[in-house]
Amino acid sequence: MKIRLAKAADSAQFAMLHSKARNTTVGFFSKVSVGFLNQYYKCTLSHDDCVALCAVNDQNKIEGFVISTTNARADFLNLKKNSFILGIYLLSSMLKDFRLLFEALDRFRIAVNGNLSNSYVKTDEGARGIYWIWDHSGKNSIWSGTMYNKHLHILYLLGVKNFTIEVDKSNTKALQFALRNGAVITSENKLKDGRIRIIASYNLQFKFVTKRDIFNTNQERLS
Amino acid sequence: MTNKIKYNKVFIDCFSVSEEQLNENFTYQCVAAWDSVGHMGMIAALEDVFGIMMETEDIIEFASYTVGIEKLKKYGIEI
Repeated sequence: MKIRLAKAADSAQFAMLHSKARNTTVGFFSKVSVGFLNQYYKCTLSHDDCVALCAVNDQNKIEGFVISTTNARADFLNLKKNSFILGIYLLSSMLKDFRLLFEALDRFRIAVNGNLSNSYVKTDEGARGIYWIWDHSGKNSIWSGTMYNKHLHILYLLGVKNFTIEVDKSNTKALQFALRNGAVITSENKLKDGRIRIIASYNLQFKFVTKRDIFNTNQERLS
Repeated sequence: MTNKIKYNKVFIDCFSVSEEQLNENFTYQCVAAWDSVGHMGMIAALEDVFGIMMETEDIIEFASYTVGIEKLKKYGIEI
Protein backbone atom coordinates (compact mmCIF):
# COMPACT_ATOMS: atom_id res chain seq x y z
CA MET A 1 0.00 0.00 0.00
CA LYS A 2 1.05 3.55 -0.57
CA ILE A 3 -0.56 6.90 0.02
CA ARG A 4 -0.24 9.53 -2.68
CA LEU A 5 -1.73 12.83 -3.81
CA ALA A 6 -4.83 12.33 -5.93
CA LYS A 7 -5.32 13.85 -9.37
CA ALA A 8 -8.24 14.48 -11.68
CA ALA A 9 -7.50 11.25 -13.55
CA ASP A 10 -8.47 9.37 -10.36
CA SER A 11 -12.05 10.63 -10.57
CA ALA A 12 -13.41 7.43 -12.14
CA GLN A 13 -12.00 5.27 -9.34
CA PHE A 14 -13.23 7.76 -6.73
CA ALA A 15 -16.70 7.58 -8.26
CA MET A 16 -16.69 3.77 -8.16
CA LEU A 17 -15.55 3.71 -4.53
CA HIS A 18 -18.14 6.30 -3.58
CA SER A 19 -20.79 4.29 -5.37
CA LYS A 20 -19.80 1.14 -3.45
CA ALA A 21 -20.02 3.02 -0.16
CA ARG A 22 -23.40 4.58 -0.87
CA ASN A 23 -25.36 1.99 1.10
CA THR A 24 -23.70 3.33 4.23
CA THR A 25 -24.76 6.92 3.57
CA VAL A 26 -27.93 8.89 2.96
CA GLY A 27 -28.65 12.10 1.14
CA PHE A 28 -28.12 13.52 -2.31
CA PHE A 29 -24.81 11.87 -3.15
CA SER A 30 -26.07 8.43 -2.22
CA LYS A 31 -28.71 8.64 -4.97
CA VAL A 32 -26.80 9.99 -7.95
CA SER A 33 -25.28 7.94 -10.77
CA VAL A 34 -21.64 6.87 -11.04
CA GLY A 35 -21.38 9.10 -14.12
CA PHE A 36 -22.42 12.12 -12.08
CA LEU A 37 -19.99 11.22 -9.30
CA ASN A 38 -17.20 10.86 -11.85
CA GLN A 39 -17.93 14.32 -13.24
CA TYR A 40 -18.28 15.78 -9.74
CA TYR A 41 -14.90 14.42 -8.65
CA LYS A 42 -13.30 15.52 -11.93
CA CYS A 43 -14.50 19.10 -11.28
CA THR A 44 -13.49 19.04 -7.62
CA LEU A 45 -10.08 17.42 -8.10
CA SER A 46 -9.26 19.90 -10.85
CA HIS A 47 -9.85 22.86 -8.57
CA ASP A 48 -6.86 24.77 -7.18
CA ASP A 49 -8.07 24.68 -3.57
CA CYS A 50 -8.68 20.95 -3.49
CA VAL A 51 -6.48 18.75 -1.29
CA ALA A 52 -6.92 15.05 -1.91
CA LEU A 53 -5.04 11.91 -0.99
CA CYS A 54 -5.66 8.35 -1.98
CA ALA A 55 -4.35 4.96 -0.86
CA VAL A 56 -3.28 2.64 -3.63
CA ASN A 57 -2.71 -1.09 -3.25
CA ASP A 58 -0.05 -3.27 -4.88
CA GLN A 59 -2.28 -3.75 -7.92
CA ASN A 60 -2.41 0.04 -8.36
CA LYS A 61 -6.06 0.08 -7.36
CA ILE A 62 -7.35 2.88 -5.15
CA GLU A 63 -8.81 1.47 -1.92
CA GLY A 64 -9.65 4.77 -0.23
CA PHE A 65 -9.47 8.49 -0.56
CA VAL A 66 -9.98 11.71 1.34
CA ILE A 67 -10.82 15.00 -0.29
CA SER A 68 -11.08 18.50 1.16
CA THR A 69 -10.98 22.09 0.14
CA THR A 70 -8.95 24.89 1.68
CA ASN A 71 -11.65 27.31 0.56
CA ALA A 72 -15.23 26.10 0.90
CA ARG A 73 -16.65 29.18 -0.80
CA ALA A 74 -14.42 28.70 -3.83
CA ASP A 75 -15.50 25.05 -3.93
CA PHE A 76 -19.15 26.11 -4.14
CA LEU A 77 -18.32 28.58 -6.89
CA ASN A 78 -16.42 25.90 -8.76
CA LEU A 79 -19.48 23.66 -8.67
CA LYS A 80 -21.58 26.59 -9.85
CA LYS A 81 -19.20 27.13 -12.74
CA ASN A 82 -19.59 23.47 -13.67
CA SER A 83 -23.33 23.32 -13.00
CA PHE A 84 -24.27 22.84 -16.65
CA ILE A 85 -22.15 19.75 -17.19
CA LEU A 86 -23.07 18.41 -13.73
CA GLY A 87 -26.75 19.01 -14.54
CA ILE A 88 -26.46 16.94 -17.70
CA TYR A 89 -24.91 14.06 -15.78
CA LEU A 90 -27.62 14.41 -13.14
CA LEU A 91 -30.42 13.86 -15.66
CA SER A 92 -30.21 10.07 -15.60
CA SER A 93 -30.36 10.05 -11.79
CA MET A 94 -33.36 12.42 -11.82
CA LEU A 95 -35.29 10.03 -14.02
CA LYS A 96 -35.16 7.57 -11.13
CA ASP A 97 -35.83 10.15 -8.42
CA PHE A 98 -37.16 13.55 -9.53
CA ARG A 99 -36.71 14.98 -6.00
CA LEU A 100 -33.00 15.09 -6.73
CA LEU A 101 -33.73 18.14 -8.86
CA PHE A 102 -34.78 20.12 -5.78
CA GLU A 103 -31.76 18.98 -3.79
CA ALA A 104 -29.49 19.89 -6.69
CA LEU A 105 -31.10 23.33 -6.95
CA ASP A 106 -30.56 23.78 -3.22
CA ARG A 107 -26.89 23.15 -3.62
CA PHE A 108 -26.56 25.47 -6.57
CA ARG A 109 -28.48 28.18 -4.72
CA ILE A 110 -25.83 28.18 -2.01
CA ALA A 111 -23.21 28.72 -4.66
CA VAL A 112 -25.16 31.69 -6.00
CA ASN A 113 -26.18 33.55 -2.85
CA GLY A 114 -24.26 31.91 -0.02
CA ASN A 115 -27.44 31.45 2.05
CA LEU A 116 -26.83 28.36 4.18
CA SER A 117 -29.79 28.72 6.51
CA ASN A 118 -31.90 26.18 4.67
CA SER A 119 -29.25 24.11 2.95
CA TYR A 120 -27.71 20.69 3.34
CA VAL A 121 -24.21 22.10 3.70
CA LYS A 122 -23.46 24.45 6.56
CA THR A 123 -19.88 25.51 5.97
CA ASP A 124 -19.12 28.01 3.22
CA GLU A 125 -15.84 29.48 4.33
CA GLY A 126 -12.39 28.28 5.25
CA ALA A 127 -11.14 24.73 4.92
CA ARG A 128 -13.78 22.02 4.87
CA GLY A 129 -13.81 18.25 4.54
CA ILE A 130 -15.66 16.95 1.49
CA TYR A 131 -15.42 13.15 1.54
CA TRP A 132 -13.45 10.39 3.23
CA ILE A 133 -14.22 7.01 1.76
CA TRP A 134 -12.66 3.56 2.09
CA ASP A 135 -13.46 0.29 0.35
CA HIS A 136 -13.90 -2.06 3.29
CA SER A 137 -14.05 -5.11 1.06
CA GLY A 138 -10.26 -4.89 0.85
CA LYS A 139 -7.94 -6.00 3.66
CA ASN A 140 -6.01 -2.78 4.06
CA SER A 141 -8.55 -0.64 5.85
CA ILE A 142 -6.16 -0.17 8.78
CA TRP A 143 -4.53 2.47 6.54
CA SER A 144 -7.68 4.56 6.36
CA GLY A 145 -7.20 6.70 9.47
CA THR A 146 -3.52 7.18 8.78
CA MET A 147 -4.35 8.48 5.31
CA TYR A 148 -6.87 10.84 6.89
CA ASN A 149 -4.37 12.23 9.38
CA LYS A 150 -1.71 12.65 6.70
CA HIS A 151 -4.22 14.75 4.80
CA LEU A 152 -4.83 16.86 7.92
CA HIS A 153 -1.10 17.33 8.23
CA ILE A 154 -0.82 18.48 4.61
CA LEU A 155 -3.62 20.98 5.21
CA TYR A 156 -1.69 22.29 8.20
CA LEU A 157 1.51 22.61 6.15
CA LEU A 158 -0.49 24.56 3.57
CA GLY A 159 -1.37 27.10 6.24
CA VAL A 160 -4.77 25.84 7.35
CA LYS A 161 -5.24 26.46 11.07
CA ASN A 162 -8.86 25.36 11.47
CA PHE A 163 -10.48 22.59 9.50
CA THR A 164 -14.23 22.03 9.57
CA ILE A 165 -16.07 18.76 9.04
CA GLU A 166 -19.76 18.01 8.77
CA VAL A 167 -20.97 14.63 10.00
CA ASP A 168 -24.47 13.24 10.35
CA LYS A 169 -25.17 12.56 14.02
CA SER A 170 -26.39 9.10 13.03
CA ASN A 171 -22.91 8.32 11.67
CA THR A 172 -21.71 7.54 15.16
CA LYS A 173 -18.45 5.88 14.13
CA ALA A 174 -17.23 8.78 12.03
CA LEU A 175 -18.29 11.21 14.73
CA GLN A 176 -16.58 9.22 17.47
CA PHE A 177 -13.42 9.03 15.40
CA ALA A 178 -13.43 12.79 14.79
CA LEU A 179 -13.85 13.58 18.45
CA ARG A 180 -11.15 11.13 19.54
CA ASN A 181 -8.93 12.49 16.78
CA GLY A 182 -9.13 15.99 18.21
CA ALA A 183 -12.12 17.63 16.55
CA VAL A 184 -14.40 19.78 18.70
CA ILE A 185 -18.13 20.11 18.07
CA THR A 186 -19.02 23.70 17.22
CA SER A 187 -22.72 23.38 16.32
CA GLU A 188 -25.60 21.07 15.57
CA ASN A 189 -28.12 21.69 12.79
CA LYS A 190 -31.31 20.01 11.70
CA LEU A 191 -31.44 19.52 7.93
CA LYS A 192 -34.61 19.75 5.87
CA ASP A 193 -34.80 15.96 5.55
CA GLY A 194 -34.67 15.56 9.34
CA ARG A 195 -31.04 14.53 9.66
CA ILE A 196 -29.04 16.13 12.45
CA ARG A 197 -25.79 17.49 11.11
CA ILE A 198 -22.89 17.96 13.51
CA ILE A 199 -20.34 20.63 12.64
CA ALA A 200 -16.95 20.02 14.21
CA SER A 201 -13.61 21.70 13.87
CA TYR A 202 -9.99 20.60 14.12
CA ASN A 203 -7.44 23.05 15.51
CA LEU A 204 -4.55 21.88 13.35
CA GLN A 205 -2.07 24.15 15.12
CA PHE A 206 -2.82 22.28 18.34
CA LYS A 207 -2.88 18.86 16.71
CA PHE A 208 0.43 19.15 14.88
CA VAL A 209 2.45 21.67 16.83
CA THR A 210 1.24 22.36 20.36
CA LYS A 211 0.48 18.74 21.19
CA ARG A 212 3.88 17.63 19.85
CA ASP A 213 5.61 20.42 21.79
CA ILE A 214 3.93 19.26 25.01
CA PHE A 215 4.95 15.69 24.22
CA ASN A 216 8.58 16.65 23.50
CA THR A 217 8.77 18.79 26.65
CA ASN A 218 7.47 15.92 28.76
CA GLN A 219 9.95 13.53 27.15
CA GLU A 220 12.83 15.91 27.93
CA ARG A 221 11.74 16.23 31.54
CA LEU A 222 11.47 12.46 31.92
CA SER A 223 14.86 11.72 30.38
CA MET B 1 -3.49 2.68 37.86
CA THR B 2 -0.95 0.35 36.18
CA ASN B 3 -0.10 0.58 32.49
CA LYS B 4 -1.80 -2.79 31.91
CA ILE B 5 -5.05 -1.51 33.42
CA LYS B 6 -4.82 1.70 31.35
CA TYR B 7 -4.05 -0.27 28.19
CA ASN B 8 -6.92 -2.70 28.73
CA LYS B 9 -9.31 0.12 29.59
CA VAL B 10 -8.66 1.76 26.23
CA PHE B 11 -9.61 -1.47 24.42
CA ILE B 12 -12.63 -2.03 26.65
CA ASP B 13 -13.86 1.54 26.17
CA CYS B 14 -13.16 1.74 22.45
CA PHE B 15 -14.46 -1.67 21.41
CA SER B 16 -17.01 -2.45 24.14
CA VAL B 17 -15.40 -5.79 24.99
CA SER B 18 -14.68 -7.53 28.28
CA GLU B 19 -11.22 -7.92 29.77
CA GLU B 20 -11.42 -11.70 29.22
CA GLN B 21 -11.48 -11.15 25.45
CA LEU B 22 -8.17 -9.32 25.49
CA ASN B 23 -5.53 -11.87 24.48
CA GLU B 24 -3.36 -12.87 21.50
CA ASN B 25 -6.49 -13.66 19.49
CA PHE B 26 -7.83 -10.15 19.83
CA THR B 27 -6.84 -8.73 16.44
CA TYR B 28 -7.86 -6.02 13.99
CA GLN B 29 -11.43 -6.62 12.73
CA CYS B 30 -12.03 -9.52 15.16
CA VAL B 31 -14.95 -7.47 16.49
CA ALA B 32 -17.09 -5.08 14.45
CA ALA B 33 -15.98 -2.10 16.49
CA TRP B 34 -12.29 -2.63 15.63
CA ASP B 35 -12.54 -1.40 12.07
CA SER B 36 -10.52 1.37 10.44
CA VAL B 37 -12.42 4.10 12.25
CA GLY B 38 -12.32 2.27 15.58
CA HIS B 39 -8.62 1.69 15.07
CA MET B 40 -7.77 5.38 14.87
CA GLY B 41 -10.04 6.12 17.81
CA MET B 42 -8.14 3.52 19.82
CA ILE B 43 -4.76 4.93 18.73
CA ALA B 44 -5.86 8.45 19.68
CA ALA B 45 -7.04 7.18 23.07
CA LEU B 46 -3.73 5.37 23.70
CA GLU B 47 -1.79 8.51 22.74
CA ASP B 48 -3.81 10.52 25.23
CA VAL B 49 -3.61 7.98 28.04
CA PHE B 50 0.16 7.44 27.72
CA GLY B 51 1.12 10.92 26.49
CA ILE B 52 2.81 9.62 23.36
CA MET B 53 2.62 10.29 19.63
CA MET B 54 2.86 7.16 17.53
CA GLU B 55 4.57 7.01 14.18
CA THR B 56 2.67 6.09 11.03
CA GLU B 57 4.22 2.66 10.57
CA ASP B 58 3.48 1.73 14.18
CA ILE B 59 -0.15 2.77 13.77
CA ILE B 60 -0.50 0.60 10.68
CA GLU B 61 1.31 -2.39 12.22
CA PHE B 62 -0.66 -2.16 15.48
CA ALA B 63 -2.90 -4.99 14.33
CA SER B 64 -3.51 -6.89 17.54
CA TYR B 65 -3.73 -6.51 21.30
CA THR B 66 -0.41 -8.36 21.68
CA VAL B 67 1.42 -6.49 18.91
CA GLY B 68 0.28 -3.26 20.55
CA ILE B 69 2.10 -4.18 23.76
CA GLU B 70 5.31 -4.60 21.73
CA LYS B 71 4.77 -1.35 19.85
CA LEU B 72 4.30 0.64 23.05
CA LYS B 73 7.70 -0.54 24.33
CA LYS B 74 9.25 1.63 21.61
CA TYR B 75 7.71 4.65 23.35
CA GLY B 76 8.95 3.61 26.77
CA ILE B 77 5.64 2.13 27.86
CA GLU B 78 5.92 -1.28 29.54
CA ILE B 79 2.62 -3.09 29.84
